Amino acid sequence: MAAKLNQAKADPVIEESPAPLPAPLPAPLLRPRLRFMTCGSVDDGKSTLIGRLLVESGAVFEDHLLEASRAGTGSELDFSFLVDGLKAEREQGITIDVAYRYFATPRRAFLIADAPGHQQYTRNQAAAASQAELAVVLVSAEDGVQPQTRRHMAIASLFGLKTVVFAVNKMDLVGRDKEPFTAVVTELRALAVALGLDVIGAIPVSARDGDNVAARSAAMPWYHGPVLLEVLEAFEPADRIAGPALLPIALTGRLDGGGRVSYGEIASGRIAVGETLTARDGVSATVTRLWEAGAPVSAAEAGAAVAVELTPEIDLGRGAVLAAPERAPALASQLRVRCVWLAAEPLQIGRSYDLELGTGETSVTVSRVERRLDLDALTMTPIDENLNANDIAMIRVNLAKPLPAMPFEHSRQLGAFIMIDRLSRRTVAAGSVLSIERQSGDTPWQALQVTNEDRARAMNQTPFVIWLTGLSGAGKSTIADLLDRRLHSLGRHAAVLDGDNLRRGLSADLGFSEADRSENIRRVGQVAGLMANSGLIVVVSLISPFRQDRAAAREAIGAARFLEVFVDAPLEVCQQRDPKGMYARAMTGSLPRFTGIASGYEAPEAPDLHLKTAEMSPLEAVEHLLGALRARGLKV
Amino acid sequence: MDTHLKALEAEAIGILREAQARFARPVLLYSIGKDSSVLYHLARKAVAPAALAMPLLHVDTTYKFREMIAFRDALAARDRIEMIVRTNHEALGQGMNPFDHDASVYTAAMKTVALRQALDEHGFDVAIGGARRDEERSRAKERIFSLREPGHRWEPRNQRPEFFGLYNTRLAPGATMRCFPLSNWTELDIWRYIEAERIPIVPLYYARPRPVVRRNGQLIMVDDGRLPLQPDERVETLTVRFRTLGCYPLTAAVESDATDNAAIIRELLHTRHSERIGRVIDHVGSSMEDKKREGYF
Repeated sequence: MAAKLNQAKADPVIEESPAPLPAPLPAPLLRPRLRFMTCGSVDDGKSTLIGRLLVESGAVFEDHLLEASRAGTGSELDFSFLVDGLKAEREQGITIDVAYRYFATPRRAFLIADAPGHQQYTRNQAAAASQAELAVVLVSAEDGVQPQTRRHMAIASLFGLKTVVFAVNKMDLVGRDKEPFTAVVTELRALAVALGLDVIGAIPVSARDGDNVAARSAAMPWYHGPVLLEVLEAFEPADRIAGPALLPIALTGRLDGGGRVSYGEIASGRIAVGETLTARDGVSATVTRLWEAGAPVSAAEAGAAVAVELTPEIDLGRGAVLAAPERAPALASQLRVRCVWLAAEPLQIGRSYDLELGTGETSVTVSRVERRLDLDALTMTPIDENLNANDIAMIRVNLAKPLPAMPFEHSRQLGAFIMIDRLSRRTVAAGSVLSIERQSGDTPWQALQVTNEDRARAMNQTPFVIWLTGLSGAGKSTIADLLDRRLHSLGRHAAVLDGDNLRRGLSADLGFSEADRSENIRRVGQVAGLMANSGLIVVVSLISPFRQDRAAAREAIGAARFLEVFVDAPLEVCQQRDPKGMYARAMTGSLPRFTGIASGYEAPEAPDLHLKTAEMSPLEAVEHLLGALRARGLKV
Repeated sequence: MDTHLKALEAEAIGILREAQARFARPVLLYSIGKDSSVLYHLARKAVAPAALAMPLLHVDTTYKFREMIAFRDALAARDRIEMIVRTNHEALGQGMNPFDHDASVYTAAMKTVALRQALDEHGFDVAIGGARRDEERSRAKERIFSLREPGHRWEPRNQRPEFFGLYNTRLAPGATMRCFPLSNWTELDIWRYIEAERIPIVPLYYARPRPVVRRNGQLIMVDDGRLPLQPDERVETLTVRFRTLGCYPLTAAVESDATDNAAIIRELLHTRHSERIGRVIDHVGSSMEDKKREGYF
């Protein structure tokens, strides 16, 4: 070869040969960029793997490589230097957010959503998964599957990820043998099955040495499958075009010559000129003109940025959804969702937040928290406390204005949302729609012919709710029982709603977190109101520790027929009485949220009646009560 | 156009529409560079068939290449767009220039301060720019909608997470937003898109014989008589082009014979240096991050 070259140099004809043909342009990339993420424990070599992919695909320029080798020890490249972004993070040696990396091969372009770090990993993993089509699950062959590996995979699967590939790293530390690889993969496959994830490959790699990342390793002849990069190049995400035609409207505009145009990205399906689309019940129009990325077209498919002109011109705003007739999304007024709580302040039941879903927005209140992800058991368990930062939970939200929505599994675009605190303007939650619990207009008020007044007249009494609030042991149940007997003997129709008894049935699903206590009181308030509607005098005996909840009950029942009674005894007296043995249990710690011991009681500021039970007998208390009722016009 | 570029185009148009729909006073930051040219092209597509309704803002240091200014003025005339040009004349009057002052001091005065003044004066609530995440390490974590505190300060820890491509664009009084529709584009994507869409760009990107001096291992073009020459410096005519454009004394050329888009794409596939290596200002520690904290784009 060398001889030939020397010969060629000497030959004047060859010296004058034409300039070499220019290298070919890159082939067209026939698939969109693959967005993938990484899951794995911190010590499993994630930065090294990402650095390796970037370096081997030529995505790292020499000036950056030089910086990385300066940061490394000896001649080794510090791959994490290529991957860690912000100065503050480098100084503290931590990474705190999702970083995006880009590389390409001649066949495909890639985006890595890299969610590193110990801190805040739940929110970062969730954010990365919400943007990714595939996860590379990285496990060390030496250390095996770690708790963090399991958690990362679980979080990713809850945030829309469907497919994973396993990269069993550090094969160089286990002699590049098959057995440790097989053991890890067996465990991983079982985990994927449990989480409902598809597995498209399991590859033994050494990110440090480059084995089976971009190039086949000669040192692991027992492995015959594709290398990691080949798997990434070949992966086909699910097809969005298959679904029904859906176009969420992002923006509307007017044309110079008059006429209205609506803009958006087709979420699924296909739209063509001449087709009829529905905006909402009974409102449809025909597509007369269609533009994709600004150019006129006759049809466009999912993923296209389009503009449409409709005839007749219908009133469409941002947040509306154009859909194939019969396939229009429901206008949801209550949603059951799964979300990650992002804010440092806990979620507050009943408080208003802003919701952004698709291109629509409205304010919402959270009506209840149902379950929370247990990061150790990896199951959704009923929750007994408030939602805190990084909790993943199932909650229900009520929408102030109904919005077009679909379950996330049917539409990524109409089934994903964020929630925003209206004061701080921070994003406090993000998640996906599990189900539409209520739609606009599907629970109209049923007008009843027999009125509440008719029922009260038939019973010959004035319906009323007597709400006894106070610490456990203050005497609520005793007074309620005595009052009930007294009313009965007077020929009145009465009933007692006792907090402890209701928790065995109506509220058996609730715990003792602030959220659950609020929900319990809301339920009792509703039931008491309904019973009063049917003519009864209702005695409620419930600790009901929070002012806000009692105020809500008063509002739900109606202030005119509501008597708030503070059954008041000093805590020491209540503890001494301890009729149900609760204080004894609370003091030993077996009742972690017992009011008065481990949870606060907000005394009424201006109760309708204040009964100091340490200073009077139960019978005296009942006399006071009857007096108060007579003062309100009741015949008792 | 291939599927990959089409997907990038649709994503950028979607982001531009979000910015238009959610803000009262959007402005397109126009630096006259290739990324700005792509951004402007996409902004027009985003609202077509209607006309682009937002102004363009150019922060002019008066040390831009002459061809850049000619290109900017020709574009504004051709498309009849509202082109706001903003210069920090106060600093210039006090003698600010790129020769006697440190590059970071100069950039702060002529670019960062001028940009902040223009945004405040016009009351723009969102400034849409052509920055890309692949440009520089600290940009890898930049959001698509990036919040700036009152005073245009960028606080990395207050940035909002972006889930599912949903953006929280709410602003406290005095706060503003920066929006980067080209976040997910690489330099190669930009060039392939320019080629596919035949987007006009400043001819300085194409190789031509140009007068240059060698300074600190870099090629600086002698664009006008203001560049002071050292005694040992000699003006040569070399065939060069620029990978990025900025102030001519601070922007190095590369030797190249790429005279069209296809040749540039081929060159890029083989280059081993990042595009910002020609930026004098970037090469001091985490300087891009520090500049951003102060409100630089």
